[in-house]
Amino acid sequence: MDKVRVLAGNAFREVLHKRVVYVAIFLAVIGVLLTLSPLVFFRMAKQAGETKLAEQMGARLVVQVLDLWSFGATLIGLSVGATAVSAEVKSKTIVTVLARPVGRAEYLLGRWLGIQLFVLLFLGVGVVAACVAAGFFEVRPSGLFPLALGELFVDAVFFCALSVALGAIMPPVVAGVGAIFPRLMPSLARPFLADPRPWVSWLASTGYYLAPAQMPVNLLGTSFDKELLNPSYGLYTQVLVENLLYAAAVMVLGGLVFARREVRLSQ
Amino acid sequence: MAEPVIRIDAMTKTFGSLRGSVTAVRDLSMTVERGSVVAFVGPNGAGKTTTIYAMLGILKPTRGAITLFGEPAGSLAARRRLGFLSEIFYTYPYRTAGGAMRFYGRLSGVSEADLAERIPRHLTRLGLGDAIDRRLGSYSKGMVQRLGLAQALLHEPELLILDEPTTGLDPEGRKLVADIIAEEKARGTTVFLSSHILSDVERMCDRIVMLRRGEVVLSEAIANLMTASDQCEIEVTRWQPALTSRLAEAAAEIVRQNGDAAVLRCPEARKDDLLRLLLELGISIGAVRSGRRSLEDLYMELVGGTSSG
Repeated sequence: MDKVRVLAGNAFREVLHKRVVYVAIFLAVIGVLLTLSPLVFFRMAKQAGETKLAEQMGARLVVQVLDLWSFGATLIGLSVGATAVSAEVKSKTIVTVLARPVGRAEYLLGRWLGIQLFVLLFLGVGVVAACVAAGFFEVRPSGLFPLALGELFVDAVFFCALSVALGAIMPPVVAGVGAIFPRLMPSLARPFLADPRPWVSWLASTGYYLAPAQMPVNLLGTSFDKELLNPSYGLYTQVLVENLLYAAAVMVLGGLVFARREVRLSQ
Repeated sequence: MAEPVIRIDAMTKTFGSLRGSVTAVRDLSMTVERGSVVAFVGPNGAGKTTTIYAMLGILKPTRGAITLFGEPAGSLAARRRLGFLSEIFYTYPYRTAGGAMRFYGRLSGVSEADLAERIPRHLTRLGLGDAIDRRLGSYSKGMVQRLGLAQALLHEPELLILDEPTTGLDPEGRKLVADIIAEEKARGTTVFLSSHILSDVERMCDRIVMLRRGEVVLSEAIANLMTASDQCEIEVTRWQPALTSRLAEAAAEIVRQNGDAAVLRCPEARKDDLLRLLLELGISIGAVRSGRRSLEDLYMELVGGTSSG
């Protein structure tokens, strides 16, 4: 496990030196600042004694900031994850690492953990900031809020793991798209499930059931709704766990294929 | 008999693509015995690096097999016992030399206590003692290459695989590499060395394996090669082309001919036979020179003009 830790530490440092990460952080910060521009109306509403309106505005701002920040985290996870292996192949630094007694699975796991740690820390900063903001706006989320935050972290793990696993066995752009595709599959497949042509419906069914479980409600959006009827905490938790298992399964499959492949370096 | 450190059996490596396939190495067989220093020589594109990558398990042979220490190439057991330096040592520019060494050492399972002792020792040995805390991004090409050699030695491997270790080094650096190889040899380390610098090969290696377009054209002990390449050249006059067929009696050949003047060459050991034959044929003998063909002459003769890059 020490080698995985060493590789993860190295991957983490590497992320800190990637320009794309700083571009994503910059864009996320700009986006958050723009999102916070209606803050002036929030003050006005508060001064006018419109506490309900102020609370609604505050809740909307917190949701928007979290949405934006988690989008930034996903973007970093996808872009850095999809190039986790190919960047090392391109720079040929992989040769000296794989010439040592390091298993391919250890290598992939280490790369993923390093990048994942960065993505989770990035997301964590946003979540903490959003919680502070929620306190400032005096908005009180429902009991769904922790699950909604959990969903953000699970999504960050899901996209990062898929892009790292796929990036180890296919070109980065294909891996990046491939990591997003499973989430889109149910929506793409659903219209064809009842198609009269057997092969189309079979293909649609296969795509539908190969896709990861989908959250039936927008957890973050509904976290601040007062009138939430019968929330299925068990189902939501199950969806999150299934998504984590899905990511783990793709990671294992990617690792197995990567372990059997040769690493071709450009001359 | 002891298991060879490296055994390659009929290895062929073909790279396939949509545009067709290219065979980089064809039916390569060789063994490297424990404690020897073997040079792997050939022009660019001969298949040296492909063979080395197959030995590391980074590439997989299309046919044939490679074992290191009796273990399949690329297995953890095999990689645990080898140290590798690539032609250009690619590393992480944001790390310091000490940090990079620690990273590589820990991947090889070297303990913290050993790392604390070995890192300064190896870096100082390679002239990088003062730059241990400097970021590698500020290192010169030669310094990075020295660091590459240091990381290959860090875990004290039994087999050193060095792909063009003197690339980018100044004469002082080249001498340092030669000294280190000599030290490692004295320590009992097996060294497999790919190089273009034949004078270094002649000086440092026990054996040479010469590759041409993916095939072995020569595999011989350097000492045997040098003895066999002791040559004698004799300048003669009144030479007649009709006599050429008689030269085979003394294993001789014509090097140059200009009118009735010619220069003949034969192995040093057959010099007396050739002189006797020339006297018998009534040929006038001029100068007689003895000398040794260099490895470079041999290289040009066997693989000259086949470089692909």
